[in-house]
Amino acid sequence: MFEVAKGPQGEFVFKGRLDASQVERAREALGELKGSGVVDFKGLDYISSAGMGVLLGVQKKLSGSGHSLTLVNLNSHIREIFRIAGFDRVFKIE
Amino acid sequence: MRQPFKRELGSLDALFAFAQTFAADHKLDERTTYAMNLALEEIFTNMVKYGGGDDAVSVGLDVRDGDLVIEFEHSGAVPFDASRWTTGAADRALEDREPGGMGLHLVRRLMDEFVYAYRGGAAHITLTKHLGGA
Repeated sequence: MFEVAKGPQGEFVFKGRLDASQVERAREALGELKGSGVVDFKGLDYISSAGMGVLLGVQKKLSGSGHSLTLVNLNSHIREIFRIAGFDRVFKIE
Repeated sequence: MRQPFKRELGSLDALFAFAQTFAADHKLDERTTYAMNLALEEIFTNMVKYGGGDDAVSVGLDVRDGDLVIEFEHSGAVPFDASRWTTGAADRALEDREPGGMGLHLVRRLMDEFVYAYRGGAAHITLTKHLGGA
């Protein structure tokens, strides 16, 4: 199960498992972004390439207007696959 | 253990539940379990999207001689050797990146062996990960 909510600072808070069957929920939520934004991964246990593709699409769209996504609170496993995918060079990860 | 899964994205929950049971039975650590789940999803979703053929994919999980072995059998699939498919996706700049390809890249990096065979009218993919190492 995957859930996305808005945090107190306007950040997107991801929770659960973001797999290929759940990507539309993430795409819909992030689609409202008009400027830079933060995605909090604190409650996210798992993400696959399908979810990573959604983040990449948003980042590409935002970069056209000089904005970007910042990803925070990644667990060690997600951090590892983001490094393997080279996402640490595409996103600001804190 | 082996089980057939209907070839649709809605099967992912059942596939993960199958993997979770296996991980608990074999006391796999979290890192290995994550890699197993990711490999299962990436190969299975590829078969859903591009495989053609039968409505079900047979998935097997085993530990043999200290290795985690993940097997997929898909009858009637369109022959496509995913093990030889290459991408420079991870090295590309943001503006040059396109969706797709990242899943197989991750599987190849997280698994120690990736073997594809087409025999008897079925695609067979066998992934192996050495346990107990980095």
